[in-house]
Amino acid sequence: MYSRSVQGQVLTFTFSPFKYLDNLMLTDTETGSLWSQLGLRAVDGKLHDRQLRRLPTVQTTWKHWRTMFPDTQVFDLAAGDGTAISRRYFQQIADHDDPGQGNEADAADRIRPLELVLGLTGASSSRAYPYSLLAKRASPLCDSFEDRPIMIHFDHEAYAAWATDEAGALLPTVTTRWRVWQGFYPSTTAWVAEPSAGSAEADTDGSETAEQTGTDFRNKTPIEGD
Amino acid sequence: MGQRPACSFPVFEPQRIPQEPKVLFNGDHRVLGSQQMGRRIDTRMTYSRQLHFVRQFVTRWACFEVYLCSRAISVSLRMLEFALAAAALLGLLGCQSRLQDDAVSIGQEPGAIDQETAADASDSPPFGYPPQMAGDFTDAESVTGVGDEELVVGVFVQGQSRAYPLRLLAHGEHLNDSIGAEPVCATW
Repeated sequence: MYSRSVQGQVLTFTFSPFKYLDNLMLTDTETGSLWSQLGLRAVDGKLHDRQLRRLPTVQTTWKHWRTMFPDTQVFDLAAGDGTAISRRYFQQIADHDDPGQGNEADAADRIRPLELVLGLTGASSSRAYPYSLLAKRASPLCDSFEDRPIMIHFDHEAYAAWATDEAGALLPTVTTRWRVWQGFYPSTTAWVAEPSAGSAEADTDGSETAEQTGTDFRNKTPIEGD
Repeated sequence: MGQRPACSFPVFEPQRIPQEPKVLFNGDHRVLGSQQMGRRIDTRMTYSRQLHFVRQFVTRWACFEVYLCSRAISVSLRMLEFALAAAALLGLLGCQSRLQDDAVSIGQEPGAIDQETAADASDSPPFGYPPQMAGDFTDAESVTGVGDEELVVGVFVQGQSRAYPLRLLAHGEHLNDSIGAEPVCATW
């Protein structure tokens, strides 16, 4: 979800026939520039290198969103208009994906390529929070990103994650797959939980003081595609 | 009377095996003699059909070139595409002029093929996709078509929150909307 206002000019976006790193690109009808959604900038056209502004969003179930914001508005659809997309759709894709070959020690903290992550970008760095690891921890998770304290929330029933600042205001995040996120941000850090023994204890006592590890994936072997 | 006596094995009539005319390539009539007129017409029709498909392809290619220009793809790619398109166009013109000569020589209208292909090229699909604009939104209480477990993308901007079902965004991948004074583009 992005703002259509770019340097005072309101653009009208439509999708383009091009994909970049498995991510559909947008184009605007005013200038015909090509925009990369996850890259947050125009890659070609008159508005080359202009930045897109991401908006605070949550990808969750309608029931959960209605609970978060009772006075929300929604684009109503007819019940039979298309197939409703539930969380099971994503889970089936992630489960179908192979966790990967390699030694067992490395596979423990390895994030599966098609796994959902909550992506957060800052001025100079980016970080991803894998859903599967967030699901094993108590919510909210206190973390700091670019010297700012943030809180990562996770709803187990809706299987949704979102980020807020100290005051509880939503932060601009994106929910995508780990492989796509890693492609756009090769120097990203990923929040990984401790080994399996520690994560079970963290659930029981609900402590949020567990150590968070930022793993640099630059030196890791690239994850192969499908 | 005049009937062939019954026999236990099939009898093959002796047939004259027509000699295949020498054709340098499909559509070349120059080496054919006048006694092989039927063969000549056949090859001409085949060639016409090929030309029809070539022209259809070039027409759509030209449309794609216009589309690339409008989308400002890199200059080198455009120049390469233009060079290939121009070469194909020149070759096509050469083929067409020769075909018209041949058509005149066998007594057909020279413009007949042009009308045929022009009628077919007019149904080329237009390029570019129209942007999707948001319609009316309803409150949470009066929603009828969105299920509880259905995934939505919710956004909170300028004190207002809106939810876009993924079912909607999966159809067109995007939606142009405005929340308050903030113009937004919903994607997923």
